[in-house]
Order: sequence, then structure tokens, then C-alpha cells
Amino acid sequence: MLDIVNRKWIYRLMGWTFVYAIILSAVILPTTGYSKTLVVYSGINSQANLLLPYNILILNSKTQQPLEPFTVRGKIVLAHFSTYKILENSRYFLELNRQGLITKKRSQGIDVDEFLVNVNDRRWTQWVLYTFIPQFIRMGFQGIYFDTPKRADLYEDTLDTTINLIKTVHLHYPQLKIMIRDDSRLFDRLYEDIDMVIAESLFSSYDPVKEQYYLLKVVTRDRRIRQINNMFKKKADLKLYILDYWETDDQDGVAKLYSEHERHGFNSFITSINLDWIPPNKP
Amino acid sequence: MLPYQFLILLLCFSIFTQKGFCEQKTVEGFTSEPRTILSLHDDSKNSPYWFDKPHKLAEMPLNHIGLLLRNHNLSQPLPSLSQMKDVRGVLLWMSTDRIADPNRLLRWAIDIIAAGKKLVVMGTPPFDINLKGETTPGYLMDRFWGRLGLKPLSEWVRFTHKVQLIDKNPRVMDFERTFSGVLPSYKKMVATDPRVKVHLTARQFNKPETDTVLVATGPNGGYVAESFALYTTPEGDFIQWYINPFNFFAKAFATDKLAKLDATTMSNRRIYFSHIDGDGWRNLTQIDEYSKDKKLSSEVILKEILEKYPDLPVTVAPIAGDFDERLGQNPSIKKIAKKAFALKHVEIGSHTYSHPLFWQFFEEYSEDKEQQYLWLYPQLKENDFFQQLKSLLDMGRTKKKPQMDTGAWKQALNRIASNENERIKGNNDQEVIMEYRTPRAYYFGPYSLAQEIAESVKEIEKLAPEGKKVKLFQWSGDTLPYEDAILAVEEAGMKNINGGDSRFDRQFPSISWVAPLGRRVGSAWQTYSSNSNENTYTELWSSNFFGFKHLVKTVHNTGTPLRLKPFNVYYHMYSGEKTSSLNALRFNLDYARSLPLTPIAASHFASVVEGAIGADLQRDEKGRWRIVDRGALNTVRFDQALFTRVDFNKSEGVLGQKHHQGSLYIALDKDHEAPIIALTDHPNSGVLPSGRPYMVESSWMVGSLSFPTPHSLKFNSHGYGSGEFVWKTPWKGQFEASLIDDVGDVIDHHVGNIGKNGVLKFSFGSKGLPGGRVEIKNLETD
Repeated sequence: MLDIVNRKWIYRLMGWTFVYAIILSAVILPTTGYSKTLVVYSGINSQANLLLPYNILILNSKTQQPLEPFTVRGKIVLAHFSTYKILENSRYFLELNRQGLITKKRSQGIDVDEFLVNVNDRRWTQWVLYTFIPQFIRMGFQGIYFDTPKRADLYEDTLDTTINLIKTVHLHYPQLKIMIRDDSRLFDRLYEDIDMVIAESLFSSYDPVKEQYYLLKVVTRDRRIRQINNMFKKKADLKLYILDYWETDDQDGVAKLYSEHERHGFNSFITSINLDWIPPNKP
Repeated sequence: MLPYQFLILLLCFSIFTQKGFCEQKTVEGFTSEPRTILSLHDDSKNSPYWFDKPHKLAEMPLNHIGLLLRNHNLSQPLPSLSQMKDVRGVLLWMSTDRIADPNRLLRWAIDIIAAGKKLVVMGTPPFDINLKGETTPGYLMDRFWGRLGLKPLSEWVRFTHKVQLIDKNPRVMDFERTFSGVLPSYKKMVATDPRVKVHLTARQFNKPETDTVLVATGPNGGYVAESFALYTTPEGDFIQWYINPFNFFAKAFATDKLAKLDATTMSNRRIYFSHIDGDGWRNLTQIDEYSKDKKLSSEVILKEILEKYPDLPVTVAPIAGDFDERLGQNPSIKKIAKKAFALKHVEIGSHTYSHPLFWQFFEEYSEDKEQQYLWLYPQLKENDFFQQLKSLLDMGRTKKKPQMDTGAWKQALNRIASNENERIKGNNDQEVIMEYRTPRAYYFGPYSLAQEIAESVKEIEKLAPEGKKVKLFQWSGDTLPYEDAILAVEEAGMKNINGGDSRFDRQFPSISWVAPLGRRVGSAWQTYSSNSNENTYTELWSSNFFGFKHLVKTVHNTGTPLRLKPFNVYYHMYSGEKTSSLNALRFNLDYARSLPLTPIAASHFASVVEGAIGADLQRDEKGRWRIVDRGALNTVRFDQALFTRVDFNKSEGVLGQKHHQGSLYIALDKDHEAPIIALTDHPNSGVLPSGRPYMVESSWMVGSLSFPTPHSLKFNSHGYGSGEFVWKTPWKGQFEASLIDDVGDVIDHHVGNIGKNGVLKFSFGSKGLPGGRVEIKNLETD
């Protein structure tokens, strides 16, 4: 008899534990865990097992990772492509330099071996359309994240050409998914040509001079969020993603940032400024 | 005119004629543009040219950049310049290292380069030494290489562990594969002409003085050192390119500005076509809902595919022998054919009478030769009482595994070629027949070409609605018919197709497995199918019956970033045998429905290909292009055309244009005999060019375009499924589009808003309207 009573209690306990586990996973984990949607990774070596859980992958366009395992599972893999700069170790650098398409070394930036490209030269558009995009497609990428300058001084005289470049890509490769920054100067003229927008450093960022991560001012952040909301008025089916930078060893800080993103209803990814980190134990 | 002036003129005339300067015909200021590449083949081993690299590997990229490959056997005299009017260049990519007379070949090569032909050397040409072991004079070698702007040095670098590859041109190198591990050995070569562009250099011990040219192009052609063009396993079953053959050949043969006659596209959309070989027509299906009534796989295809996809045309080609009552009588066999042929979107084809499997066997046929195989053929019913009884019980249905159209074109060729020496020594026919067991699938008596072609057509047409003819002949078996067979098909008024078997997917990860347009056999032309059939996906129909659904990967990879092939769904009636194979087929057809395509009949595609190879492409001094004798070919493509558009004011017979994947596709009016294309600059590459109204794309074919007023246009159009149209106009406001039949009745009608960029989009019906005259009016003309 006692045995039966004990067994009953054991079953009840197991049942409640199960219910609590469900509640915990539904309520607590999303606020302390990592986003399941987006990953941005600049490494070129294999990280397939860590990357597989994500649905949108922005990867280094030189990645050596075979992309078919992602695409057959319905993931969207975008090539991270800069519209205005190139690394000195790129296999295209010598030829671009020989053709006079490299203008100068970047004076500031995370990567010191970055050089600026003469974006206004037609031949740059030709390189992008005739060489880079076909290469990305052959590698298995389904779209491009066009990384454009954040600083206005790198931009003003190339804005029109940059917009024409992205429009040209869309005209010639309509099947490619296109992602751009949440830059209204771009968005207002490109929203019909693009599929996704990424807001980089919306809540937090990195100061390369002080070499530290910091939170953005609430006023600045809210202003950008309002701008983002306006974008949805022009393109209701816009897909928006947030990319913030934080010290990846600071798990509490990362978790708090994810909570903030979630409170605002954003799909986001938090990583190191070098984009070389993927959460090792993603739920 | 003074006598000496006349003499000088005469002399000039004779010199120019001899040198071939007057060789190209001129029509109204237009001159024919040579687009043939002559490939030299060492036929001393009796191995046909289609086993060799130029056909297997180079011809498809050459086709894509607007060129045609013509084989020349070295056993024949080398062609004179006057015989090379249409030749743009020569490709020397030979498997042999010695030939009988290298001196003769070198002198010829030197002369043709001097006459302005391009020459490309891939690998080590058979120049150094002849079959008797005699060395070729050095001055001849120097003169030859000098013409290419190169100079070979005597040293071979055999140990390459201290060699670095430098100066890689990323547009030419590292295409499908990068060099890794130990590099191949190479002969030292230096560039002597500053105009030569080196795409890959080898450097030893980090010393610039050791630099050797491995890949280069120049004003007179190009060069790729042995083993630096592509990687291949010894068995030849895995191939990947190191060089980008499209870019390399485009530079070497100077085709960047050349107009390309494009057989992949119609009305500025990718072509779709489908064809079924009749194999397995009599097979019992294993699909549950049909098997309980002992239905045939052909009936499953009829009910589940032909009747359910009326928007996708398909050519159904039975094996006429399957209707021969000597194989057993079953009324449903013919009934299925009658029902299928009655469908409007079904074109009728023939897949032979007795289904030859090894065509070469029949080229020099004798009854005696086939005697040894007779016991292996399915028994005919006419003389055997027990067989007749069995036939009545069986009702002519069979569970026998069908004989394969091997499909696996290159795979089969590689297998055969790898055993080439044994084949030559022994009985090569025997060896290939062993792959099939018998030379053909059925035996109804001694072989005759007339039975395979004319009689098969006659028997099949008996089941067709009145007036509906057999349009296409679909090669069976090894799909390597001999010249007379192809000519007989042509004489019977049919187009022909099959062979090729393109694959480009995870299992075949290279464009090497994508076939060229077709195969020239003597004076005849065989058009290859554009995609492989289910055989290569199912281990020759023995396992993985779902495998055909992977066709979509090849379709994707041959569609982007370069459109190399149409979307072709090619299969057999036995796909109706199993649930998984039927599902795979449905998957492919549903995928086709999701894409913007222009569906056409398979015989139409074969006509497009024949148009592409037979047309006369001409150019005038203003850079305008004229296309004559193009048959059904209606697309011209210009590559690297971001900043180029059609100048409609200076063009004729052009329907429209579309920028796609870096190229400019131009749709020609199918009813215009000799369209002229003029191009102009298009600075704003991100938007559709403006100008007079033009067609951007359509799912139907379009012709007889005219502009009755500045605010209206009309054209004839027909096709399959709903007719989808996109036009760019300078108009604003609303437009009205009407489809009008032969008697002048409006059968469909559309009113819509013109987009802000002057783009108007509309479609007609979804039930497969027959087409007719389309009239479009801008409703706001102020």
C-alpha cells in the first residue's frame, strides 16, 4: 500500500517537474539564452556544428565551409561583402591594385590591412557583377549582405554609385536575397530591391581607440528604433535583424542585451567586434 | 586603267584570295563573323573524337561563349586557309604526345596564326618528336611558340616541392578547385611578347629568374601547361577545373564583344522542355492505387503527369515495337498512347522500333553478326502456342526490367575510354554489348534503318489524331547513332535528340559534366538533351528511385551564375512504376512551375539548337550585328554587358532586351528574317533602359511586333500555360491588353496600371489558351 502511495507521489513529482521544465524553457531560457535566428561569423574555417542551428547565416565570403548542409535544411546563407573596402590579403587585391582600383589604406578601422576601393569607377561594378557575385553563387551563397560605410566622409561622393551597384545586382540576380544596413539614405532608395535590413550597434558597440565595448545612449538608440519603424511603413514584409557587439566572456552582459532585444521584439545576434565568435552551447 | 595597274590589282586579288583575306562573304556591308573552333584529333587509334577532351570538356564552355567546335582528324590533310572561312581559331588539346608528322602541323599552325586565326595549346602538344623518334627542328618550334608570344626552355621541372604559384589572375584561376599538395611537373616557358597576359606563374626557390608561364593568353591565342587546366582522377570519374574555361577561352579566342547565339533562352526567359522515352511502357506499375488493377506505368504517367500538367509541354516517344502484337496483345497499350497523343500539350516522338542499344553495331550490320544474341531477346509470340497462351494470360504486360538508355554519356565514355587500349586490341563491340546483353532491346527480324525510323513513325502515327505527326526522334541505348541514321531522321522531316546527360550537382561537382549543344557526326547533327534522365540518378534504375528529384540541383547550377542549359525534364515511362519515382517527377515539374520559364516542345528546342549552329552571324563596320538563316533561334546574348543596351532606332526585328547575370539577352522577332542589332551605352546599370516600348520577358513566343501608334503595339503570340508578359514602355497611367483569336474575337482581356518605371505586367488565362494576336494600348495618351 505504502509502495503504491509512494509511487503516486513519485509520479506526481515527475509530472510537476516536467511542467516546471516546460515553463522554465519557455520563460527563462529565451531571456538568458541566445537568438536562434541570426549568426554573423567572419571566420573561414569549419564551424558547421555551431552554425547549423541558425536560420540566417552571414558568413565571410571566403569561407571554406561547404554551404550545402545549410541550404538543404532551408537556411539562408548570405555572403558578407564590403562595397567599398578590400583586405590586402584578398586574392583579388593585386589585380584590383594593378588596375588602379585601390585608392588608399584605411586610416582607421579594426582591420589595419584594409584598403579603400574606387567605388565610382565602373570597373568596380563590373568586378562585383562579373567576378564576385558569380563566385558567391558558385560557393552556394543565396544572397549578399552589402556592408556599406558607416562614416559619412567615406560615403557622400559614392552614395549614388553604391545604390546603383546594389540595384544592378538585384536587376541581374533577382533570385539573390539582399541585406543592407538600416541606413535611411540607402533604404529610401533601395527598399524595393532588398529583402532584409541589419541594424549594427543598435544597443551596444565597440570603441577601437579605448578598446572597450560600451552601451549606446538610450536617446540615440530610440531615435534609430523610430527610424527602423518608419522603414516598415515603406516595406511591410521587411526582415530586420540586430547585430550588437559585446565582450563575449561577459555572459551576464550578453544575456541582458538579448533580453533588451527581445523586449523590443528584435531578432538579434551578439558577438565580438571581430565577428569571430559563435556561442558554444547554444540551446 | 593602265595595264600595270590592272596587273597589280590582279596580283593583289590573287594574293588576298590565297591568303584567305577575301574569304568572308559580305552582304549589304555585313561580313560573316567566324565562330568555329577547329579541334585537331589524332584518329590513328580509331577512337572517335567524342571520346576526347575537346568534345567532352571544352566544347560546352566554347558553346556558351558563342563558338562551335569542329573536329578535324589528323589522318586527313590539314585544311587550307580557304577551307577555314568560318574558323576563328584552333584548339590543340590532344591526348597523344607523338604524331607522324609534327613538322607539317607546326608549319600549318604558323601559317594560320599569321593569317589571323587564334590558336590555343592545352597541355603538351605532340611537337617535339615524331613517331620514328626524329626530333623536330628547333627553328620551327621557336617560330611557332614565338607566334603565341612564348618561348619554351629545355628544362622540365620535375620536383616541385619548392615551387610557388604566383600572379594568379583570379578571373581565370581557382575556378572549381585550387592547387593543393604536390604540384604537377612542368616544362619551363617564358613570355616574349609584352602583350601576353600571364594568368599563372610558377616560381622556384623564391627566385624571380626561375619564373615560368603556366597559363597565359595573348593576341594570337593562349596556353595552359599540362595538368594545370583541370584536376582529374586516373579513372576520369572526378574532374574539376583549375582554370575558368569560360574566361580563359573568351580571352584566348577574343569573344568578349562577340554576339552569342543563345539556345538556352526564348522570349528572354529560360527555356523549359520535356521528353519521355517510351521504355517501360508495358511495365506493370507497383504504385498501390494502380497496381491492384494491374495498370501499366505508362497509364500512371498519363493520369498523374500528362493530364495533370497541361501547362508543361512534353514529347512522348514510344518504342514502336511495344505496339507490335508479336510481343503480346493488350488493348490498353495502344489506348494509353491514343489518349496521350490527343492531349494538346503532348508532342509525338519516336523512340525507334526495336530500341537499338549499341548503335555502332548496326552501322555495318549483317544478320550473321546478330545471330549469337538471338536467344537472349524476348521471345515473339507468333510461332509458339505456349507463348501465345502465356501472352493472353499476361495481356502483354511485363515485369521485366527495362533495357537502359544508358544515358550516362560521359560516364560510359570514360569507362570505355579508360579501357581504350584493350578495346582496340580486342573485340570492342563485344565489350560494349556486354553492358547491354544484346545489341538492341527487341528483335523483330533483321535490323533495318527504314524500320527503326520510317516504320516506327508510321506505326506511332496510326495512334495519333488526324494530322498530328511525329516531330522528334529520340535516340535509344548508347545514344551514339551513326551518320546515316541521323541523316535518315533528317530526311524523314524530324528533329533528333538525346545523349548529353548533363549533371552538375554534389555527385558531379563540375561543369565538366555539362554537355555541349550536340555532336557532329560527319555531315549530320545530333542535338543532345539538356539534362540527364532518371537513369543516372537511380543507378541505372536499380536503386534510389527517388533520386531523380535531385535534378533540381543541376537545373539550379546550370541556370546560375551562368545560364548554360535550358530546364529539361527527360525521363522514361518506367518512372510511373514506383511511388518514389513518380513523386520525384512531380517534384521536378512543380519546381518548373515555380520558375519564370518559357515552355516549348522538345522538337522546338532541337530546332533552336540547329538554328544556333547553322546561323550566319554577321557584323558591319558600325558594330551592328545581323543574324541570317537562324531557324528557330530567337535569342542573342552579349556578355559583360552591364553598361550596354539595345539601340532600337538602329536595330530591326528586335522584340526586347533583358539584363540578366551580367549579360544582355536580346529577344528577336520570330517572324523577322534577318534581325539587326545595334548596341549603345547604358550608364545607369541598375535600372531598365528606356526608349520605345520593348518586351522584357514573356512565357510565350512572340512575333510580328508592330506599333500602329505611339501609344499602342501589337504582336502575335502563343505558348503553353498562361501567357505572362512584362513590357517596358515610356507610358503612364493605365493600359489595356487584349488577346484576339483568328476570327477577331477577344478571348482574353486585361486592364491594369502601368508601373512607375513604365513597366506593365499582365497575363492571359491559366487554361492554356491557344494564343493569337495581342494588342496593348495606353489608355492615357495625353
